[in-house]
Amino acid sequence: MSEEQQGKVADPFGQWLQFWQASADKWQRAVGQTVAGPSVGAPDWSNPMETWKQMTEQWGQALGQAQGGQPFGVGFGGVGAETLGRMAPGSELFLQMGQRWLQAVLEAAGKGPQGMQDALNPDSLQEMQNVWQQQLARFAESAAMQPFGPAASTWLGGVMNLTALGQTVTGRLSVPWGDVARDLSVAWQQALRGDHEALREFTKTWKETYNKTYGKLLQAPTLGYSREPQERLMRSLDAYVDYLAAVHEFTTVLEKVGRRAGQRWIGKVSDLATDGTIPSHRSIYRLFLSTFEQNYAEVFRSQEYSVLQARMVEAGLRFKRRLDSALEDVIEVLPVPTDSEMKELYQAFYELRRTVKQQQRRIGELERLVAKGQ
Amino acid sequence: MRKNPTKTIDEALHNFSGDWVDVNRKYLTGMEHLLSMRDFEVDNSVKTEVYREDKVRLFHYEPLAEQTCRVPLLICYALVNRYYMMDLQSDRSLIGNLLRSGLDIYIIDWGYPTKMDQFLTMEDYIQGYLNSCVDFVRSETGHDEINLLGVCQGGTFSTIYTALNSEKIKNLVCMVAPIDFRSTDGLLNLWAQDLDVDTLVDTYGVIPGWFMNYGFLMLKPFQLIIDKYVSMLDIMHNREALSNFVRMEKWIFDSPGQAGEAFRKFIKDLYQSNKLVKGELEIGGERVSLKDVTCPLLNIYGTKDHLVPAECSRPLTDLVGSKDTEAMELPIGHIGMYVSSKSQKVLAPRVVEWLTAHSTDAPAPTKGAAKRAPAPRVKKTSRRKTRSGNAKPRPRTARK
Repeated sequence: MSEEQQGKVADPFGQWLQFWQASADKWQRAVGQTVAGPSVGAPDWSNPMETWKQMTEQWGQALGQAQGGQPFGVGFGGVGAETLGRMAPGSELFLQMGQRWLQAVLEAAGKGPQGMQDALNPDSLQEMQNVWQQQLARFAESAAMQPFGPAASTWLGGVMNLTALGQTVTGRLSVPWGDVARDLSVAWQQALRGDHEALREFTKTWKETYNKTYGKLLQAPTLGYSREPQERLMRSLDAYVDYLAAVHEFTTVLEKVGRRAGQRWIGKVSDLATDGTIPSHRSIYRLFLSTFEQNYAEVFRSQEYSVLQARMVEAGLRFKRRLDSALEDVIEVLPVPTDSEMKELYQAFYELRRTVKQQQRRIGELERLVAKGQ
Repeated sequence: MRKNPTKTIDEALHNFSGDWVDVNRKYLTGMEHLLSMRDFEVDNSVKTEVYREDKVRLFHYEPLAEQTCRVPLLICYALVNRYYMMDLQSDRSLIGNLLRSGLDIYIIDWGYPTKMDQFLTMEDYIQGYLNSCVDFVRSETGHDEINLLGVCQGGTFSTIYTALNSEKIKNLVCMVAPIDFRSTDGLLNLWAQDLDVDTLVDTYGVIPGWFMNYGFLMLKPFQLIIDKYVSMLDIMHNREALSNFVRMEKWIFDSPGQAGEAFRKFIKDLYQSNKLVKGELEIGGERVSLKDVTCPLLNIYGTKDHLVPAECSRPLTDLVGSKDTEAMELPIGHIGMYVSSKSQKVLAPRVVEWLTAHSTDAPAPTKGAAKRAPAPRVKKTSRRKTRSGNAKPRPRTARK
């Protein structure tokens, strides 16, 4: 029995390196073929999943050919070819699962002309998940699973359930974004063209969706040894996002007023010049000041502005409080008093000072009474 | 500013370039002035620190003329910004004018609250520090009743104090004092309604001066953030005008923080609930009724005041229990009340005239008169003359 037959390799690291070099070489060639295309012309990146599939398949075929028809024809890392050969069906199982997944993705993605963009809408994602589960169920019942017995089928069923559950959980974070993706995209494009209402709508939608998804993640209870500081940090991050949204909403209003004031100012400047005269730069500047001041004053008097400003201030304060709280976790290990500790001290000192003053007043009154002989 | 519109582009360009050169010349001359301006004095009148309690100091001004008014005057400024606004520049000083007219003046400096002072309440300020200062002046001068002049928020405090301690106040003068907070004229009144003051106070403890300044600047952002400095270019070449501009700039941004608990009550009970006018305000468990203000009242306010609109101050004249009241309405703004040439000509003479006329029946001072009545023990500090209010509170001197 040769060393290889015994599963022993003289230079396991060299073998291992050789195997991966060969794999990388085949991969490079597979990619090259796909990118360059089997015939001529540029690769078709309009459907990246299809391109990815081709690359993967070509790499698998090339690797198989290089290893004498079997992907793991050469032993390495102290494990002989025979052992590796037995492991091959196990690996094959994962490969096939991946292939089914890829197939499901491609089936869902292939429905529309926009390829990947359509594949990411919530309906497609849901359908993709369904197809994948069906594929996996068929695979579990297929002949490929026979060598592994009922335990493997049970395990695979568990994987399917866990995956479905995991997707439900992650779906809570991603699906609401999918629901509003098109609205956000449209609002953002309109906002870029200067539509401030659209910008406001974008902020509002974004914030609402955030509150339904990642906001919940940051607000959820945390676990473990560092639970307390971690939770304080998460809360401060959440408050920061809220503050940014409030600032955005506030500045959007200011920008909108500025735009309107600018238009009115230009109009007034044009009016100045209607009789053929050219207004002086100083009169244009004065007009700028009075127009902008007047327009902003109108908005500043509105209830809407007052509420927005108060909300922005409140959001900033909430963020500061939470950040301060998180920072105290860091500071308390240093040999310096924290803000909370100092606050307690200040309060005690204030009460003490007040008591002393009251007692001094009382002593003064008594001294006066004594002086009078009462 | 050129009034005549130009006819041609050439003429417009000519004017612009001429103006551009002129403004730049002024700017460069002004920079020379700024670079050589080592220090500039504010708070010019000579005064002596006569009493100190915690961070609060009481100053007594050196008389500049023979005393015409028999009763001493205590000035109570706002907690917002600094008292030296009334003595910002020597040629336009309300304090200077009052001193030259023969008033004997004391003034309270509230100091710069730090986090240590965050728990100070309105009661501490009014029935504590203000009362201590009043008692000190009474004790020092031998007058059972003294004249009290309250400015802006200090006017609100003075009015409340007078309602609670009417036996100690001979005459009350209120300047631009917010009393009726229902006003919708003022943006501060509107914005305060939606402010979450609890979160603000709980977060900062002492409300930062910069936060207050943000609110004040936003009242007229283009005028106060842009035009003020653009207009400065036109006066920069004039050293005196530039000095006055810098003095005002110093005053505007010399902003002490606000002790949180006092601020909380001031905003919630006054700005948001208007309790003083409704007769619902309580200070230290005592209900404050404006009808208890029975001494003569001079109520001064500006019709162009954007910080404390006239309609916030005007009602005081009719709300107090005094039979002798007078309202003085001036067509000027909040700051103009102290520094405008118009107010210099009218305001100080009228205040002196009114106080003098209302103090003639005051009994002759009896040294130690106030000591007969129960009064808190006051702490006298070593007297120290000072000319400048620039300095932050100095380390305490030895006390008796």
